[in-house]
Amino acid sequence: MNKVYFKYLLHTNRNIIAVLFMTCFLIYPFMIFFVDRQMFYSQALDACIWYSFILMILTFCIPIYMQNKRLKKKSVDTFYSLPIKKEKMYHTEMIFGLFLVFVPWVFNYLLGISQYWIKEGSLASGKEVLILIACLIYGFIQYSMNYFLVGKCNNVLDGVITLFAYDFLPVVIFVVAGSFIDMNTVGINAYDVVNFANMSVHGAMYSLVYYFIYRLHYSTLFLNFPIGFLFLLLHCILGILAYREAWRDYVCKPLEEAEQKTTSAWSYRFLIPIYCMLYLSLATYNNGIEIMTITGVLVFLGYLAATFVSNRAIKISARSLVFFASVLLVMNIFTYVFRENKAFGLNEMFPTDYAYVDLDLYINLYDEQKNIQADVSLSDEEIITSLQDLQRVCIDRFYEGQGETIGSLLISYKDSHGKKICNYNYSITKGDEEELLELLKKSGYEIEITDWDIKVE
Amino acid sequence: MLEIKNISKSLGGNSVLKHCSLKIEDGKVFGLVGVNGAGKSTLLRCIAGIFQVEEGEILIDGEPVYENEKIKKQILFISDDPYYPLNATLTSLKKFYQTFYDWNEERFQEFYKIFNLPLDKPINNFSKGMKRQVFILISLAIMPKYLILDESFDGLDPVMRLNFKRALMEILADGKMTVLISSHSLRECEEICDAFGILENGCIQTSGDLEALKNQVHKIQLGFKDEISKELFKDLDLLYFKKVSHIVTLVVRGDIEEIKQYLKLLNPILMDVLNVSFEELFIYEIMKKEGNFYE
Repeated sequence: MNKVYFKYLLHTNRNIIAVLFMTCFLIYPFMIFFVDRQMFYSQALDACIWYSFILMILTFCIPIYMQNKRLKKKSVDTFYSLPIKKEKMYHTEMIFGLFLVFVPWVFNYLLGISQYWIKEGSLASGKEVLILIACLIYGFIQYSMNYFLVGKCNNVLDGVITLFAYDFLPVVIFVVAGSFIDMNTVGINAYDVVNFANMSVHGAMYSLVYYFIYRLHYSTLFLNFPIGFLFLLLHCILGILAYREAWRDYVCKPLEEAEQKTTSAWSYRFLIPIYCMLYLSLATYNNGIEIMTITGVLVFLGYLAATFVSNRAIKISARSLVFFASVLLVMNIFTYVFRENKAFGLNEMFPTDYAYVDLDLYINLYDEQKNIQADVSLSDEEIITSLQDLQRVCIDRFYEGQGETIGSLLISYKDSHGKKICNYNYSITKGDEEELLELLKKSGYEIEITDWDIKVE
Repeated sequence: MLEIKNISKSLGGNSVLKHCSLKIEDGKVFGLVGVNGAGKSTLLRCIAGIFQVEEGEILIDGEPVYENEKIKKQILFISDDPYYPLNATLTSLKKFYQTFYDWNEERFQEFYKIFNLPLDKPINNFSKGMKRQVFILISLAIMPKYLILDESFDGLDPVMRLNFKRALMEILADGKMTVLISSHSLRECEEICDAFGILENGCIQTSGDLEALKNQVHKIQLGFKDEISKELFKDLDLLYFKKVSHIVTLVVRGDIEEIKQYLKLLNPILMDVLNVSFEELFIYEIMKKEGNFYE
């Protein structure tokens, strides 16, 4: 690190430092001061968690601000002709950036939590210290990653777009994968398969701290969640790698690339195909030709816009068109194979460690003008095997597209404490009701037929 | 001494400098000239240690420049459009350069009186010429061992240009500073520079002492009784040839006495030797390289 340069950065950024201190103060300690005493404990902790989002915003903005001069030709000429080695310049700017991110934030965090101490003689929940540690760790990881990603770009606009695209990528993967599973599977709840929390944590971006803290907040003991430590370890490795790679990139990247189009494989070259692929997975034949066309056109327009922005030119090459058509074709082939193989058994992954099964049945028999409504529990192995056979029939029927829907069946597998393991939701077609009623009879339920209903008791 | 040894540099896949070599003696004012896109700015940025060369090396006093703090402390690069932070003033910019270079406040005050720029007004509001004056003033206050000016004269009014030249001459009298200037204004270069280099096709095609070159190249006007064929001049190292009726204008390289003797054999009725300016020299050199020196 170059101390002289650090002092210069401190001096020239004194206004920004003051603004950061003031903003953090107004958002946290100042607000805490006005929290109603009766609401103090719950609100104080919530405020503490939400204050971490300010840190996330800082880890997004500061890397762009710090690398601004590397992305402009004029400033490159001035700064890189200075008698400082690039390596020293990197460490100085990196450390100064961390200073901007953490010092005003931590100072005001401590000021905020110290108010509990002063008012109550203790901390509000005792988790504040853990939250601070989590924020410091994840803040550093996120800052390093963002610093690395901005460094891969050649201009500020590309830097901002790339960071946004990476930050939203886990959410897009979650939504698209959820929709795809929802459209191409039956019975299972797509969002049980694609778990948002896990996706976001794997995504390692803006929601990192939130989920880390979420776990802290809703668990009685931090140590009950060893998986949190695994993620922490994984992300620490990623953070250190990002710091190291950003350093290498800073030293080796040719400075003549400033203000040029970004050609790095980390930016548009990766992001455009991945976003295109994700969205085109929704433009598939099974949704019908209209939906497929509309979705395809919308994705194509987005693809064109992204290509124009990345190339800084309104022109499309034959290669881009071929790429788009190929992705569309591949996604349709994948969907076809996925459906032909009945989601590769995803629909039939029934749990084995359940204690009993709850059935919530609703059937409307139009011909007989009768309803069947039942909310029953089954625990007999043989009966449950028969039920699973019926589930398989429902699955086959979904892929073959047969039968007229007359009702719904919700099956919940539960453990001995009554806690839900997983849910299955099927459409019931004509003829299934007899099999279901037979199954209920076998498990000891009485079937009573009235003028209006078929009751199961 | 600054030595450029066989350097090559590409920008965006285009080879800008190709096996370029050059030596600049200390204490010289070196004018780097070339057509637009010749690679002058790229060469200066390589010398300043901003761009890393792909082949060859750039040495100052035998040490490489790139990533060498000690050597870079001796170099100040002022680009054609220098950077200053938003709302920067002359005072804040002075503070910036003071951080990294040895600053001579006395010299700053001395030249500040000449340039008379507002100290605490944002540079952003200055005219283009004033902005250039700011950086020239800074370079004069730093007085690095190697001052690299990329088209820094452009935009200066005649009075300021004169002031800068005077200031530069005053400093150069010590012989402690070497100046590299790239400019489109060859007349300006001619007045200040004592050495030059013509950059063309990615390498220095011609370089050397300006006066020596001017003594080597001569513009001669000849008048003949009868119309004369250009074939008669084929033994001369011609840079330019123009024939209007019986009058011939030549720009020729070589020893003037030998040339005169050769031309006398052609029995001209008139022979005038005219001065060749640096600008003309540059034009004739470029025209000859492009193969269109006959009109």
